[in-house]
Amino acid sequence: MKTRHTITALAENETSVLHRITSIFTKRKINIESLTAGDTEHENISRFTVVFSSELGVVPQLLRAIQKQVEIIEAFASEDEGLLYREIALLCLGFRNIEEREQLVKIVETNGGQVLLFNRKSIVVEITGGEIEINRFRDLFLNYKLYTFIRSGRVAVKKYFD
Amino acid sequence: MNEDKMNKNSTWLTPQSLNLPQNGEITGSIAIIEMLLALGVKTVFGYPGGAIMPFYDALYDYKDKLRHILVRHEQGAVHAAEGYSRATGEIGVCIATSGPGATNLVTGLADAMLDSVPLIAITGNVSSSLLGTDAFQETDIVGVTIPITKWNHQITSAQEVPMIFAKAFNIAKAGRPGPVLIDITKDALLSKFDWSDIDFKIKNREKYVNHFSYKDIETAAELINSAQQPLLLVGHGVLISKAKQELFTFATKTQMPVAVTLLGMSAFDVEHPLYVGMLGMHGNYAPNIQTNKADLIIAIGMRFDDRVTGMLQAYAKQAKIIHIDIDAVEIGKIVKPDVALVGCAKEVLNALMLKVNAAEHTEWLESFKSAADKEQQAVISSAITVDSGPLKMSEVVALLSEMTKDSTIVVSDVGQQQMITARYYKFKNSRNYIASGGLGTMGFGLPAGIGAKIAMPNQEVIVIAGDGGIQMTIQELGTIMQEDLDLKIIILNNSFLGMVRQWQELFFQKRYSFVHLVNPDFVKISEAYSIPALEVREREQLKTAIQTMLETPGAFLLNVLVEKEQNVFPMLAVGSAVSDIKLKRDEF
Repeated sequence: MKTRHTITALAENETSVLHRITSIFTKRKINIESLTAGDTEHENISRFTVVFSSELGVVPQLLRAIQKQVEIIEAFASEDEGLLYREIALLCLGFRNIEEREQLVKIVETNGGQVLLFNRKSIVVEITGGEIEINRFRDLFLNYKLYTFIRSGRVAVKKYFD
Repeated sequence: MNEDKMNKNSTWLTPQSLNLPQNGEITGSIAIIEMLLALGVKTVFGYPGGAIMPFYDALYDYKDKLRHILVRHEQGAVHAAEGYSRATGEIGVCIATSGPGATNLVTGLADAMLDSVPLIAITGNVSSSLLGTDAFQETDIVGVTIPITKWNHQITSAQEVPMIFAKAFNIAKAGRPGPVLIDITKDALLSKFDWSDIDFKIKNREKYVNHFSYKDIETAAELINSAQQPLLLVGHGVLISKAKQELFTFATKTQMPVAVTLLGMSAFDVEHPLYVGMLGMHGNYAPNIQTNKADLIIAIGMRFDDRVTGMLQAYAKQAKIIHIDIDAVEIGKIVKPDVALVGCAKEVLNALMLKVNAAEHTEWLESFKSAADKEQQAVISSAITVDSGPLKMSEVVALLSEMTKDSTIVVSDVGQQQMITARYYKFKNSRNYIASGGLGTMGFGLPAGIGAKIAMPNQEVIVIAGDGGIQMTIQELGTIMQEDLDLKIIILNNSFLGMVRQWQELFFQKRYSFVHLVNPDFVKISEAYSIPALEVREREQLKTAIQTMLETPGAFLLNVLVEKEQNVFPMLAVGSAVSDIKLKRDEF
């Protein structure tokens, strides 16, 4: 049975690292569900967070293949339960009149979102949370005009460091 | 790379630890050559072209210090570098230009990746200002080769050369060896920097290869000491880590039968009483059958390739497994071990030796002998002792084995003749059998033979190829001619792509789909390259022909016309259990 896994890797900030990491997944025909790369607390070191679904048995081998890459400093794998993770989503929602705009703002604000921008016929909204929370938030607007829904990859931190 | 050139005891590699003596201003091209020399490289294999031309211009002044072998195709360069490395254990170096030059290296890099061969491939590229513009002969070779290199890097500034080369050489050889590609733009080859500005500090990866604990050693030793029917599976890792002696000491103390993989061939004397044969699809009967009877399997420097395991669900289920490998990725990839010892085979064996007891396994060893006798009667006798009918590949190899010295290096191509060579040549010394294992690259043999001969000029080197494989890289006869190499070549010519034909016979109802070859006159081709040659059609001619080949100074080619439809047996059909290996055609 396939389950959801996250591999987090610290890597030297080199041009081809991302390609090397993704090629490890490509070779095994594992689809990457989300991938986030960004700076860390260390200079010239990036953190990659890769989310994918696979059989549990594949993960240790996949992780070791990533750890083996020259630029990788450290990497660990975890199932969702072991992680604190967040994604961010941006939604552009359309409205026809002031009343509808007020309804949207109310839904956003009472559900943990934040309005970032008011346009003449739309608002841009931000929501941060776990995958399920973001899906739930998006579904609140099924009866409204959703122009765009943009979702980031996951950033994750181990629940326990000690 | 000479080990004394790179200080293995140092945790960090710096210009000082590498003894880089230079001062003054030099170009990127000269820096590459100086780095190659500083890292102990004596020979490179290459082919010039537009983007790499500044390097070749610099090489003109170093002709007496760095030997450059001009091949006829870049694939020849990379396979020759592999042959050089496989014969010595040192890093092989090949050079190509951008675009097609670089992409022609791809097959060899993939081959080296699968067979753990330390290589440095240097490719030129267009000037950095043109990168990404689809300039003439531009290819993103770094992107192309990511999955088939251990590491790769593009240099766009001359100043990077010393650090990147130091790092690349260290990576290629540390732990599980592999190919590293360094791409360098034309402007970086041409521009200058001052040596005195060079300063770097990089991790010496050779220091961090052992990860086994003494608790694991003790657990493994307990399994070994209590085993009644243990079996040692020996792979390429034993040769790479130069652990032949340690293996011998370990095997003789514990009296364990020793089986080898194709690339583990020559890690254990095939005439030693503990040697029980080659594993795998066309390996020997006894080690395949007995794999499923052993109570303990100790796999050293091998990766449970599907050609070795057959059907995994029926592979050694009854046995405890100890897996020794330097590459943690191999642990549990195919077969889940009871004990994993991640480290250099030499050091793991040394550690185990302190804990294992001397033992006898007389009955167990006897059972191998009776299985071997069965194979002898069913397969081997009739394969090597033939009185009439067409010549068999097996009798040619068996006779060659008798007529050559123990020090002879045999390089085979891929296919039936490769399996026949592994089966019937009696390898005694380390690194004496060179073949493309994991990738199964046809066309590997001839250029790899060139590399091996250049590395080992005082040893006899014989290439054995089929009529199919030889034609994939036959242009390298030109390299042999130009370098005046004393390389012997035997074509086992059955006018078929024999291994595919065998499969079509056995598994595709003899529908011979595009496997028949209409061949050129190989003797004339050889003679056109000023390489003397003979054709052998009759059994009576064979011995004299081999004698002539061995006694003729310089290169020689023998075109031996063999039985068209000889099959290689035993054979493990795809999807069968190792214990179901077949001895004869009619068992299918």
